[in-house]
Amino acid sequence: MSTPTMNGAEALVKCLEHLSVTHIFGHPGGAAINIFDALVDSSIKFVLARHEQGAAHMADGYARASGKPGVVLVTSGPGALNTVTGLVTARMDSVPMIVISGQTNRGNLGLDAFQEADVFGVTMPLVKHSYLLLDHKDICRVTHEAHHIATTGRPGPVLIDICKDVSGAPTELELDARLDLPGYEATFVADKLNLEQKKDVINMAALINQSRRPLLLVGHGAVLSNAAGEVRTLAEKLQAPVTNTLLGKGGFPESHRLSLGMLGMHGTAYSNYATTRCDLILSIGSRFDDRINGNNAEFCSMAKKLHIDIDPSEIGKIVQPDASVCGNAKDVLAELIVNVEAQDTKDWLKELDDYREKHPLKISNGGLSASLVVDELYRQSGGKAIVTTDVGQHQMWAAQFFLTDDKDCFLSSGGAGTMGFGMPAAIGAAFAKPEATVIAFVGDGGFQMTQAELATAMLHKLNVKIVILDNECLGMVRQWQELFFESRYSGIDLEGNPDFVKLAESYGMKGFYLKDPAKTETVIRDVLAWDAGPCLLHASVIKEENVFPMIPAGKSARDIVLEKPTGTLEKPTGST
Amino acid sequence: MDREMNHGPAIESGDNLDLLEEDDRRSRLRTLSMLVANKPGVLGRVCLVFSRRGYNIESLTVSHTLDRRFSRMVMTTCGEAEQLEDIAKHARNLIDVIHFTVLDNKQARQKRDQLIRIVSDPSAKPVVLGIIEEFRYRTVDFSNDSITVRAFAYDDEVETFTEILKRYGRIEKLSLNLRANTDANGSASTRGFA
Repeated sequence: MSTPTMNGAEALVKCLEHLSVTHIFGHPGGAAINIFDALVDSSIKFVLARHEQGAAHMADGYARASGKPGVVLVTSGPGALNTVTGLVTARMDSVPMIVISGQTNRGNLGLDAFQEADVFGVTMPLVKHSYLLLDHKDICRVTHEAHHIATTGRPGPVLIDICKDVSGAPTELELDARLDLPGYEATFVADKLNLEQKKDVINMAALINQSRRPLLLVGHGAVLSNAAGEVRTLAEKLQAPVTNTLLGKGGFPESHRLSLGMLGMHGTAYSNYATTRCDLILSIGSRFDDRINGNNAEFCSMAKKLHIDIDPSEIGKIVQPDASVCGNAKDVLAELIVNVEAQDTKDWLKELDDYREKHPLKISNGGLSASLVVDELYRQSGGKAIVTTDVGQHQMWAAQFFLTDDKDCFLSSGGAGTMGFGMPAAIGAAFAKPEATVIAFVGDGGFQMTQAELATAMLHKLNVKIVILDNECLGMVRQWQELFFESRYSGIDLEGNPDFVKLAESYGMKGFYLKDPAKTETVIRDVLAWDAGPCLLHASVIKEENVFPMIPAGKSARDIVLEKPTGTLEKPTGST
Repeated sequence: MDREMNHGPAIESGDNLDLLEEDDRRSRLRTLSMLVANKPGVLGRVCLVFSRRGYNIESLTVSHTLDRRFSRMVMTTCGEAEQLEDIAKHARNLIDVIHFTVLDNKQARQKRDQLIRIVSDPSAKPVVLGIIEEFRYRTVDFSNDSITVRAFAYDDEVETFTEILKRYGRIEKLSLNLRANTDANGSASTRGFA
């Protein structure tokens, strides 16, 4: 046997190159120093974030925009722990991600060594899978396994914790390392449908063929499996209206005449109305989240419920379906399309159109409305942009008014609801799609959680437009306190905000300011025309504007609140 | 009487409600069997699936299989069948879990606590005691014409035991189920026969 010519870290980096990894986001430190050393001689571009949470969200945005796994490299202890929020975000939204963290030497494990933390233990319930690497012989196999697990089936984050003496040990490079995953292949759904799946599709098709008022619900699974074409063919064949979840944006063109836009708590009035009237709902890769269902017992009470999901644990988790197929949405839909018959749904579509006319989405008056800013950016960009958001009111306005027609163009933290996600995710998306315009809609609250990444955006001259919808408060909580807690405001005032334009300028970034609604059109034209790297738009918007429609948490679609109520509403029973 | 009694006999108590609850809990005990990777942390991953959903693990055995790459995990937990099916699905999603089965009560070969009384002629006693010794059961009561033993054993093993002893006398299985044997005064006895 020849003497190994490289150490574990170099083998790791070579494997990543072999797996077509081109970008790594992260922050260095002692326990990961071998890996950083190996990056010097690598073709992989390392992007230095200002905080590990930022790095994790960048990798997440990169993954969502490109479909490739995002890779994060951080050091032990605090470095790795700062990625925890990013791991949860990726896990909840099924984003392929590989987090590589340095760990103390094997001999120091459990001895409270400097910057030692049980990262493997801490992250255990948050990841799709994780490894603590104690043997340099495992490095190549584990890297390949991590990539395989992160990207196949229902995607998710995988963590590799590598002891420093393991990454420093001489090792053999194995670019064709064999995967050893006996418990994973068993549940992995291959591209072709098996007999059982085909039988399930036929059962499902039979129910669809009996339906007169069908409704399609497009979730993230449809986007992840690249099934937009199939969804469209099915919708057009059935002439069925289509609604989507927040993460399902892009699974079906929202500008299509059959689209009802987003469903759920802050979804359109007409899509929520459709759930109360439909006789069949087909979820394509949506997990019947509480933001969608509100009250499970009353959700689509008149409808047969059908469910397509790649993850067997999602089927029957919240809603007991009348028919279900466990599989890749694209393959299942292709089979379903040939088994369903074209339908006459004119009356059903007419009913929904009438309702839509009566209750359209509205933009508030009386100052600069955040929804107006979103709407104007949509209009002027023609929707040709990758949009990222933070979490809160602005996220809902972005979802409502910035229609999404293509997959991987609306990146938002849905399941985890992670504030601080928007700007770093936009940076990651800009690395993945340098030719695209990336618009990060953020609130003044969430933006300040990761605002240090302004430096990263500026340094790499990325085509990112950061739109701060500044209402000087934590708006969504303010909205709840106004509506359900008799306007007893608590902990929501963002007094002490910086001058965001000056902040941008201090990083050498162009800043725009907008307060006068009459200037919206011209300012936004300038923002979109700016082509010398990133820019920031500080939009000073109405503080008191609320997001409507709103279904109070735990309530059914029948309890939808379409506009500002006169009195205080009953406190919601739903948790958040 | 076919109830699972894998936690020893219930403590004698006059409170019927407690006994009912205890009995209900026992009837909802399920046995789960899984084949998992024999690696550090796997037990933790499996336990998290339960604890995250507020499930308590009542008993647990883990040991490696003949093939050292894998371990067999057998655990009991208390819950409704549908919810356990949900847990099963999430446990199966773990990369390190290769098989996960919820056993029905017949499949779940559990040791349980049993009392057996052998009523025999005093002359047969040395032989009977020898057999008890052989099975490593414990003699808990002794009288002129009977011996009572306590066995914590699998049902089929106890069946073999009683088959052999039948030749030396009459066998009575004493139930340890207190609810079934609570008399009108509310005091528990072990007089009932299974």
